[in-house]
Amino acid sequence: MIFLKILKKEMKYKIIFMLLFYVVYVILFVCSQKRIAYYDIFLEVISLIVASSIWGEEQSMDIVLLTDAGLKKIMIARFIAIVLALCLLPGLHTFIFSSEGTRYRLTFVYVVTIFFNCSLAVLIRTIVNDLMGSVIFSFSIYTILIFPGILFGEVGDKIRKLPFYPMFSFDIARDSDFIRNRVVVCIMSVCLIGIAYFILWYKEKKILKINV
Amino acid sequence: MITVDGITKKYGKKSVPALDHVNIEIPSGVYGILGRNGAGKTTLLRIMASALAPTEGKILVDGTPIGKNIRAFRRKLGFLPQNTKLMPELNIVEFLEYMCILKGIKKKETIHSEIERLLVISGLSGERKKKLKAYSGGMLRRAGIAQALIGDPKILIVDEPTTGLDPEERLYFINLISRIGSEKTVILSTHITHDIESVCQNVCFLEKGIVKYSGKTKEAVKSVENSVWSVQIQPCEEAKIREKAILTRETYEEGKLTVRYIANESIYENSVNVKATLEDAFIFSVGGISR
Repeated sequence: MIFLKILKKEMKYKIIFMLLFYVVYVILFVCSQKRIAYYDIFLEVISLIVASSIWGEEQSMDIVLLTDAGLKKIMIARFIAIVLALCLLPGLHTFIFSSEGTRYRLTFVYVVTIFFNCSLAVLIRTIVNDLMGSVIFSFSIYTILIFPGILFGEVGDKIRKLPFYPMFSFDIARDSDFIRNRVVVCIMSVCLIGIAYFILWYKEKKILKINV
Repeated sequence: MITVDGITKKYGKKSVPALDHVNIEIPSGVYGILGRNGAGKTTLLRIMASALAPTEGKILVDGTPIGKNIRAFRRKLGFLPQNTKLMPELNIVEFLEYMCILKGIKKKETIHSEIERLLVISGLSGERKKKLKAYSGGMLRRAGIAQALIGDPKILIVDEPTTGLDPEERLYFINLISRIGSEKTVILSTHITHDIESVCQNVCFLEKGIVKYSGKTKEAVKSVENSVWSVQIQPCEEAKIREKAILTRETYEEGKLTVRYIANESIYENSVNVKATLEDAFIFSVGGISR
């Protein structure tokens, strides 16, 4: 019950917050007829920043930690709110404005990639324990994922073609391979957020263990 | 009564401990923790609030370790960390409503009456529509205190609440802490000795993670009574006094220097015995000003 109430509040604040980003997006890209060219990069970068800032500084984490809800519940509620706020409008936008043939594929690509980026950024934020550090770290990993060939040469190119590679799924030719890739990336994302949940659980458990 | 029992905290296995076997007893009323920057005050408060695990030791409330029933302990506790930004996009009513939900208050009417009570206590009734990002430093601290007082906790932990406030806001805040301390246990950390002296009945001096003094504030001041001296000298003579005594203050005026020092007896001609303060007691117990 408390979780649903938190989720409701988080959704309200996140969606209002995200609407501002979409206004910027509409003004900058749709009006200048360059929507698809910048669409994915804009959303992926925004998703990394928003998800990395799931917690403010350490002090505001302390306030949350000491409540009945605790860090784990709030992390999950905020994560759901962030993913929904980030996916809702691009999903709808892609679904409405892309051409008949690529409609489902594009929507699926964006939604799953945002889900993956958010999971990755939240996990990094949980480990790094510092807002700026985690944004930089998330961007570094994102850059590695985007340019594996440039950074690692042939090995990078081979890795890029692996069936579970989270980026460039739009280029996969066969529909069955494409769906398998997206499902695997979804599972990977759930695992990442699961690890973040476990880290917070362990952190809380450690405090209890010592103070008994 | 809160007991800090042998608390040690190390960040990393081989590092110098941030806290080294800290033992203190905290009775009800306002308790002050005084120390320089980096003395370990925030670490100690976070451990006391159960937000950070110590490497060794325990925190006990009325003889029971807090880990036995952490949820009950946290319900008894209000915590205001240092320099908290809270949630800038919300106004105070939305923020407190959200915090009430996080703290497990379910009924809407209870939340509503709790918010009204807290707005009165914090003096923010007239600022309910303003977003927190538009609040001044002092108002933000009061908003922080309001969230810490949700559910009427018995223990309140406040970390450096007056740092950076203007004199009027600082006084308002200190008076507020004093008022809250008449009914609850308030643990106040600061490096402003005057704040501690004006509201804390008991105090602890922390230096590099080690407790240098723990006890009544008046007793701390008493320990340096009759040992604080003031004398006007030529600036070039300062080094002589520094060699033999602990210097606490230096005031330059019209080419002359007035120094305040701590020594068992007068070490310079014309020295006048002056009234000791908590600042003198603190500087004496930590062995002088290090910079």
